[in-house]
Amino acid sequence: MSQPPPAPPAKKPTQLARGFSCKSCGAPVKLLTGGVALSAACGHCGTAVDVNDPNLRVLAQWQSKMGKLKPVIPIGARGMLKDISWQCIGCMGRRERQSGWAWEEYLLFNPYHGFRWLVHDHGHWSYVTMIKDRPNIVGASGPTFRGRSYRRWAQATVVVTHVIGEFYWLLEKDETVSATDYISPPYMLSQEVYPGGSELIYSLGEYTGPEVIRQAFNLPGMPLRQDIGAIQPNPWKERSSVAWKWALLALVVLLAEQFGVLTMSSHTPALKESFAYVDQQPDKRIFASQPFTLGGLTRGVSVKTESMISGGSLDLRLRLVNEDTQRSYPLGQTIARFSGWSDERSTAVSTLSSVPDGRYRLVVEPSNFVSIDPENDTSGFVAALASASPPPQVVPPIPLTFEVARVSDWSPFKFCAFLMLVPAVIVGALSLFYEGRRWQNSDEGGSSATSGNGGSGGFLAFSKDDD
Amino acid sequence: MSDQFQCPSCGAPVVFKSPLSISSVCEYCQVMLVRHDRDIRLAGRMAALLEDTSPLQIGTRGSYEGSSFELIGRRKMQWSGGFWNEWRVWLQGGREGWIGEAQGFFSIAFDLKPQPEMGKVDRYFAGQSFQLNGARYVVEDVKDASCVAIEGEFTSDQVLGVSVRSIDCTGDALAYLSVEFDVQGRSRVASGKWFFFGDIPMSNLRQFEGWPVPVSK
Repeated sequence: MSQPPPAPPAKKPTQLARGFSCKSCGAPVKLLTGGVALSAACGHCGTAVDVNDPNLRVLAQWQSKMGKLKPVIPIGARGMLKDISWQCIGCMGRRERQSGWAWEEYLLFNPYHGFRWLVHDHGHWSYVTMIKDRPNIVGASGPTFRGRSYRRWAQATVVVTHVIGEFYWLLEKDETVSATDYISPPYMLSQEVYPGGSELIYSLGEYTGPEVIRQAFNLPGMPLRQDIGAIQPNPWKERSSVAWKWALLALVVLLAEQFGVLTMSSHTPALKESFAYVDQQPDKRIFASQPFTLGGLTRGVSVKTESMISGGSLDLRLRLVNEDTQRSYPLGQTIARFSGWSDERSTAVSTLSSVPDGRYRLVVEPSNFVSIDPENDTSGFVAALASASPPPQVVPPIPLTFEVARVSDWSPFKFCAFLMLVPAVIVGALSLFYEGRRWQNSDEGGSSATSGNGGSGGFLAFSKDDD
Repeated sequence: MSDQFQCPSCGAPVVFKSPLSISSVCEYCQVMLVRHDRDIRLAGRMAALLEDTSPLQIGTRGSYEGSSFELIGRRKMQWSGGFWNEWRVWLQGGREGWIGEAQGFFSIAFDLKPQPEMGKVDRYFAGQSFQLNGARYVVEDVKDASCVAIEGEFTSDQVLGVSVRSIDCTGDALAYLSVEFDVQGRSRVASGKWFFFGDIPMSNLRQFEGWPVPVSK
């Protein structure tokens, strides 16, 4: 009793395809689904009948003044999509009542998998599955569905303008649907409300490249893509997030390295030497230090000068001179201290950004001692500096202490950081630009839905045909 | 152990797979048969033959939540906008349920035990939401339908021609709830889930000319 008995032998395969003559014009109408689809519309005259009614009751007629629908995918064509073999059994022209924006929807059939739709909108295609799980629509921010957040794209009243082939419901003339679309490229979530709220249908569309459709159904050519499709994947978005990820990662690594270098290189100075400058003695006016070695991980050098100068300012011309190459790295400093200041010392620090390793001497030429005695000269420093004449009074020796040390240099860091940010910024801008162009066609994108509609009179799938 | 009989009309073997079944339709001559203990009686002739466009058939087997199952009965329901099929599922171990199938949508459901009190039939409308056993459901659609054809075996001999109001509801994560009211206003509630073809592995499917039969993984 617990084990089901063996399965009965397989029966003869069922033939689904059959046909009938159109009740209105007599043209042959092919039924590809054997009645799974409930309605069939004659491709010649647009008369739709109830295929399960013994008398093929006429449901509606779509003899359109807008010309015939010329499907891109012929009715009856088969193609593999998502690893499932589908047959195109119907094509429906739909139109937004207000703006006149028009597109086509192709109904796909597989006797096991049921139905799917291919929506063709101005060269852009999406593969649409009706879904039973309900998105979580919270307020105006848009729904979340299967872990993705969607943004509201458009809301419109939609009418059917053309039908050819079979459909899985009983067709009704002048049936209007209120449709709201939400997007999260490459997906679109659509909600369709039928009149009176009698039915609420959700579907999920996935952007499908025209080449995929062309190859699947072996079509000779495809209508050109116009503009950017509502759910066309942004080719820059992925690249942008990758570029930013790498840029930020590299910045973190660079920053870590920089701080590591700073910590490691904060050791004792390579040179610390003192010198007493005497203004009146020419042989004491130039100072050359003992040779010292610069090495380590960084290229920067700081030169710090401390002085017990009092009541004046002293300009210093300093040079780091490489003992081997005689190459010199000049810099200038001014140290100043006025008797009114509370600090004992006057300090000047300068940095050279790139000095290679080697043996160096520090050569210092002080010049232009300017005496400022605030007690005599209340007019200030500026006036004192302006006086070019050397000070008449005897200047006491000025003790100077020099310290040379390796320091971290931020400029290579800044350069690398800039280099890494450039692609991220460019790709990010391209991505934003792409989204801007996409949202121009949306109800929500600042401009109205009709603005993206310019020149759509030549909708590729339709042609004027007055026969 | 399934019970085997001979059709009193055509002599073909008639097998009751479920011990709960009391009626069966002879698959050769389409007469309705009702069993009484070790005896089988003719209970009328089927009016309509079933069309063969469903991918499922009597004898289709599969496996659900670790139990293998077989489809042993089918009722075809008609409403103003079309048809759907309800397949009686007999699972290993004697559990029974239903697979609903319409236009490529599938659901599987098992009668709730005990049956909840669902109130009056006319309180349900599309879009309405309600709580049942701590879960929230939204009414998907409300359809008045009647059984226009049956095949296989059933637990009652009063299946064909019965009219019902069928209410499909959807909960979180594809949860499915079926509430069915009969003309006397009595409800029958079954819960389960919606699924796509291929989500539940099945074999011995109906074959269609020119269409490859999908192979279950």
